Amino acid sequence: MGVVFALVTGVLFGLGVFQLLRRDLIKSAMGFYILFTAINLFLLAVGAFDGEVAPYVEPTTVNTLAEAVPGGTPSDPLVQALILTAIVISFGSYALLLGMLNVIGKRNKSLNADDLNALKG
Amino acid sequence: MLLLIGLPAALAGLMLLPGGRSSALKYVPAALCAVLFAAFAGYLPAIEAAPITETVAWVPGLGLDLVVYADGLALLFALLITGVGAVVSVYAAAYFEEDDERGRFLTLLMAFMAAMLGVVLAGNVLMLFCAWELTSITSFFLIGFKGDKYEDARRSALRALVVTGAGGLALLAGLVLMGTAAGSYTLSEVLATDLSAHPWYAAITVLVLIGAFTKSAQVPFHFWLPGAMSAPSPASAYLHAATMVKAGVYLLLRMYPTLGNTDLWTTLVLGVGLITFVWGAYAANRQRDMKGLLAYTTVSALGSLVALAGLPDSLGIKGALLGILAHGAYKAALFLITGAVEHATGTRDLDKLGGLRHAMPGAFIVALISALSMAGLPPLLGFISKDLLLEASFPEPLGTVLPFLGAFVGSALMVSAALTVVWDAFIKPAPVKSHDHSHANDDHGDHLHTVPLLSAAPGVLAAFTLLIPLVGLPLLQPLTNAALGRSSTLYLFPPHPEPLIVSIAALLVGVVLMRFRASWAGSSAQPVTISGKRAKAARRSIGFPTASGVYDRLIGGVDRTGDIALKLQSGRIRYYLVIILGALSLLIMYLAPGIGTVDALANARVQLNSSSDILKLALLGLVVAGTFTSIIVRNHLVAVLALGVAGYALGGVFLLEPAPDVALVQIVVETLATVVLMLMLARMDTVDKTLRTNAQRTVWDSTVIGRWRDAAISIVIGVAIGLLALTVVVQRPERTADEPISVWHLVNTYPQIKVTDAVGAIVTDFRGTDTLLEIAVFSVAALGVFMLLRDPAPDKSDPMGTVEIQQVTLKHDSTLENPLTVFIARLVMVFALMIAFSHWLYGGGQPGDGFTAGVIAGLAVALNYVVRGYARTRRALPWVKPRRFLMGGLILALGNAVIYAPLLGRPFLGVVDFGDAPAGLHLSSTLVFELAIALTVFGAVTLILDTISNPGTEESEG
Repeated sequence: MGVVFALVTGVLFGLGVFQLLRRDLIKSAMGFYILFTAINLFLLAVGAFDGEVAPYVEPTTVNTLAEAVPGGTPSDPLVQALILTAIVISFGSYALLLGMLNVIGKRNKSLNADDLNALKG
Repeated sequence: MLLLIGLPAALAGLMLLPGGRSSALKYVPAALCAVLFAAFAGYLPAIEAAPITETVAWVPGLGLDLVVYADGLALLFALLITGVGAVVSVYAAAYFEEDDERGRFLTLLMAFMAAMLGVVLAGNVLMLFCAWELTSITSFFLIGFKGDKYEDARRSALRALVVTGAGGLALLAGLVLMGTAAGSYTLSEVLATDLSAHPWYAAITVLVLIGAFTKSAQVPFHFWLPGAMSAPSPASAYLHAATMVKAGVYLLLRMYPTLGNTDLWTTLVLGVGLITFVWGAYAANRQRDMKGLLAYTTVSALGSLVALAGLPDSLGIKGALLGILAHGAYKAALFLITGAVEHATGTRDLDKLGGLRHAMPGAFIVALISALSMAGLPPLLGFISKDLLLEASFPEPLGTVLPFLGAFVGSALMVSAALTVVWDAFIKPAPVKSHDHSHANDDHGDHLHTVPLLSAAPGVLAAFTLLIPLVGLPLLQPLTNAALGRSSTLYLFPPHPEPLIVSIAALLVGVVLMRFRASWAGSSAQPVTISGKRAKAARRSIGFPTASGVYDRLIGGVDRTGDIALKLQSGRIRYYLVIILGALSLLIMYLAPGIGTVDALANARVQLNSSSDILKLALLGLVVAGTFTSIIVRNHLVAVLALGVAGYALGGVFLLEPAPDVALVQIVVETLATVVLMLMLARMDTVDKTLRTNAQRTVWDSTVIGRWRDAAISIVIGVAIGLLALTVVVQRPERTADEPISVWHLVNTYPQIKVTDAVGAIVTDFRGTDTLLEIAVFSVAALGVFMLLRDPAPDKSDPMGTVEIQQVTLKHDSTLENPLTVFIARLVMVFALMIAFSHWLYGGGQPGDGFTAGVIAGLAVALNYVVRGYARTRRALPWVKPRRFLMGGLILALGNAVIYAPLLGRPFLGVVDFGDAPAGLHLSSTLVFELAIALTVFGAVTLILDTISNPGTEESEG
C-alpha cells in the first residue's frame, strides 16, 4: 500500500500547491491545510513496516518484537507519534493563519491577494 | 579569573536597570576598574611561574569551552585595559554632564571592557573570536554615540563596523582552519603547534592577518580609524588608542609562536606595518583637527607595533610590548586632554586654538609630557620603545636596509606631529577670533569652562609615562619577562650607542620637519569625518583610488542594487509564490533525470493483501475527491465541508493502517478545524459581507494563461513529490536487514513505561521533549489568535490604519436556543468530560491520550458557544478560563519534567513509576504529563474558540 500512499501524496501535494496559488486568500489557507494532510500521509507511507495490527504491546517484560506483539506485524509506532505531533502543530498554524486573514480582511477591505500590496517596495 | 571578566559585563547589565545611571553611582565603574587592576596585578607572581588555565564547559558538543588562558602577554593587556579603563572611567564621569548620557556611555564602556578582557584572556580561539566581535559591536555603539544628532557619527560607526566586521569574518575562517589544522581549538594546544609547514599555512596566515590588520587599522584598512573619532573623546582614548585597536597587535603577538617567523609572515606583517607607520605619520602632519591628527599618529604607532611583530626570530617582541604600554599611556592621555580642550573651548581645530598653556596649565603639562613621549624624547617611556624599534630594525641581522629606513622616516615624522599638537594648541599665540565662526563656548581664555578632573585623570597616565623609566623599570621587569617568556633586562639607555645616535638624529630631523611643516605637508582638505561633497572633492583632488573611496563606492553600489531590487517588488504575494514555486519546478524539471531511480521504481507494485486494502483505496479516492472538490467550488462553506470529508476519509485510512491513535486525533482535529474555519468565516462576515463573496468570485477569474501556469507548476511539483515519496517507499530497507528504532520502541514500551500503547509511550516518554515543545507551540498559536483578534477597538498606532475597524458582533441565531438544545449541550458537556477523563486516565492502554481529552472537552465547549451564544456560555460555564488552563498546563508539564531530577535523580522528563492503583489504573509521572497536555490543549482550544466567538463587547476572561 505504501506505493499508493506515495502516489496520493504527490496528487495531494499538487492540489495543495494549486489551491495555494488562488487569489482568494481563504482558498490559499485551505491550500496549506491540504499540504499538511499530504505530508501526514507521506509520513505514514515511510513507516518502517507494513502493519497488520495496531502497535499495542503485551503487558509483560519481553525481549523481541514477536514477543511484544504476538498478533502479527505491528504498524510503525514512531511515524504515528510523529504524525500526531504534525497534526496538532498544523492545526495550530491553520488557526493562526485564519486569524491573520481575519485581520487582513478587516484592514484592507479585501481578501483578494492581488489587492494587497503592503509588501510593495 | 572568569569572574573578573564577567564583573564589568554584570555591571553593564546592572546599569541598564532603572536608577543605575544616577549621578550618585558615577564613580562605580572607575572603582571596579581599579579593583580589577589590583586583582590582575595580584596574578603576576603566579603567571611568572606558569600560565594559568581555567576551564568551564560551555557547548561540549562543539568542543566549545569557556577557557581562560592567562600568560604574561594576556596579563600585560589585562592590566593595560583595566588601568587605562580606570582613568577613562573617572574622566568620563566628569566629562558628561547629563546623567543619561553618562550612564549610557559608562554602560557601553563596561560592556566593551568585558569583551576586551575576553579577547586577551580567551583560552579557546572560538571564544577569542566571539569576544573580538563583541568589541567591534560595542565600538560601533560608541562611535555612533552621538548618532542621533550627527549623520557623520552614524556613517563612521557603520564604516568601522563593516571594515572590522569583514575582518572578523576573515579571522573566523582563519581560526577555524587553524583549529582544524592544529587539531584543537584550545589556545594552549594551538600555541604548542607550529603550523608553518602545514599545507594550509598560507591561507590561515592571510586570513588571520586580515583580521588583525582591519582591527588595528593597517593600510589599506586604516581609513575607519580617523572616522571613529566622532566617538566621544574618552571612547577615542580608550578604544581607538589604548585598547581595542591593539587587539590586532595582540593577535599577532599571540599567534607568533604558531604562525610567525616565516618569510610570508615577515614580508606581510613587516611590510604592511612599515607602510602604515610612515603613511600614518605623514597623514597626521596634514591634519588640523586635533583628534584627527592624533588618530593618524595612532594609525602610525599601530603600524610600528605591527612591524615589530613581523620581525623574525622574536627580535621585535620586547619593543612591541613596551610600545603597547607606552602608546597606551601617552595616546590615551593626549586624547583625554583633547577632550578637555574641546570641553573648555568648544573646538579642536588647531588653527583656532592657541595659548592654552596659560588657561589650562595642568592640561599643558600632561600634554607636553605625553607628546614628548610620543616624540620619543628621553627619559620618557616612549623613548624606550622607540629606541627598541630602531634597534630592532638595524639592518645587520635582517639583511635589508628598508625596515631601518622606514623606522627612521616614520620616527622623524612622528616627532613633527607630536610637537605640532603641543605647539599649536598650547604654545603659539591664540589666533584673533573671527566671530562669524565662533562656537557657542568659544570664549576668551579667562572664561574657559574648565574642569580640573579632566586634566587630572590623564595626569595619572602622564605620571606613568614619566616615572616608569626613571624609577619604575624594576616594577615593569617581571611583567615583560612573563610576557616574553624569558628574562630580558629593561634599560633606559641602551648599552650600545648606535640606537641612541639614530634616535637623536630622528629627533632633530623631526624638529626641522615640524618647523617647516606648512611648506611640505600643507593641510589636508579631507575632513576627519567624511561628509558628502567635501569628501568627494577631496578624493578627486587626490586623483588615485583611496581605500576609503573604494569603500564608499562599494557601499554605494550595495545601496543602488538594493534600490533596483526594491523596484522589482510588486508587493503581490501571489506572484512571489508563483515565481518561487515556478523556479522550483523549473529546477525540478532540469534535475528530473536524477530524481527517482528508474531501476528502483521498477520494483514498485501495488499489492492488495486484504479487504482492508481495498477499503483504504476507496478512502484514499475519497480524500482526493474531497480535496479536488474544495478546489473547484466557489463557495467557501462547501469547500470547507469537502475538505472535512477528505479529512475524515484520511482518518479512516489511519484507522485501517492500523493506527487507531492517529485516526482518533485526525478525526477530532478535523472536527475542530472545520468548526474553527466556520466560525472564522462567520466572523469575517460580521465585518463585511462582501469580503468573502468578492473573494469567492475571483476563483475562476484568472486568465487562461494564468490558470494553466498554476496548473503546470502544481503538476510538476506534485509529480516531483510523488516520485520522491515513491523512491523513499520503494527503497525502504528490509526490516530484517537493519533493525529500525521502532522495534526498540515496541520492545521497551511495557518494561520501561508500564503502558501497552507504544504510540502513547513514544509521545509521552521516548520523544517526550517533542511533545513538550508541541504543546508549547500550540499554545503560542492559540495566544497568537487571541492577540490578533482580541481587541475590536480601533488601534490608534495601527500602521495601516486607514480603515476604521467596525465593532464586531457575531450574530447569534436565537432560534437555536431552546430548552431541548440547551439540555443536549449540557448533556454533551458532561459526557465529553467523562470521555476526556477516561482518555486521560486510560490512554496508556487504548487509543486516546491527554491531547484528545483536551480537544474533546474543548469541542463540547464549542457546542455550547454555537447553541447558547457567547455571553450565556460564559455565564453558564464560569470555570472555563482558557488562559489559566493554558498557563497551568504548561507549568505543570514543565514542572513534571524537571521536578524529579533533584528529588530522584531522574533525567529531564524521565518516567517515575508510582505503582498500580485500583480500577486498572497505573500511576506514574506520565499520567501527570498527560494531564498537563490535556489542560494545555483544552486551554488553547477554548482560547481560540473564545476569541473567535467573542463579539467584543465584554472582557473575555474575568
